Amino acid sequence: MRFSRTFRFDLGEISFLRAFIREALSDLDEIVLNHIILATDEICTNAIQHGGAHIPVPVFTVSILHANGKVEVEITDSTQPFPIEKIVEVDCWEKIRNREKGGLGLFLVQKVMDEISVEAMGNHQVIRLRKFI
Amino acid sequence: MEIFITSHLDFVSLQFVGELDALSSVQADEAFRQLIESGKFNIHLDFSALEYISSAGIGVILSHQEELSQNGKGMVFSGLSPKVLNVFQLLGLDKIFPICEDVIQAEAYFATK
Repeated sequence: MRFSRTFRFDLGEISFLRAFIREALSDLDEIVLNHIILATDEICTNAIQHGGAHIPVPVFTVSILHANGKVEVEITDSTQPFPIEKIVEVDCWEKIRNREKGGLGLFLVQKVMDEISVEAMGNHQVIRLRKFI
Repeated sequence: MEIFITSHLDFVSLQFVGELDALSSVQADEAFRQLIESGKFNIHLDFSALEYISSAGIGVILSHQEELSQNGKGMVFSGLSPKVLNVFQLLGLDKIFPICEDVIQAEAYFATK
């Protein structure tokens, strides 16, 4: 079964997003479920913080499919294309030395998911996160 | 999320209750800032009631470590749930920060510093 829900471009929506994923994938192991919640949170938070101003449609839609030993999360929005090529290895010692708060999120997405892809479709994009169970 | 602050003899405990994400990390950042400004450099982070942490929460924690370290002090964690511990392990934070069972172990850790 596929579950879909649309959220406003607002950081206050992210807790509802997490609850939505938790409900849709309640049969998964706690650690695996947390990986999927974390990856989706990071992608959507990044979009709200860095792409949320002046977008034509200030909403995003998250669709979840769990079938055939795989979970696929699709995030559809109308921000600029997701910078998948900017995901780099992170050194936490360097973050500490430089007193940096950011730059961990996309690295974590790559760590916890098996595949990440981005497809541009007209004036919106679809980010697909896949995890093999 | 709620943050409870408890002062001990040699350290301060910050207990996080709920979910530490991009929205609530602003509140966590402010709590750290207030402690550091008041000269509290030994900080115990009690995660026993923390249900979730994202990169924004972790980023706030990392950003304050250097200042504590420069004052000869630091942070110690306790009460991490398996999923929060897993996120720490993915980033290698379990090799950077001491992780204790509870506040009693945290107290013993600070007593040796």
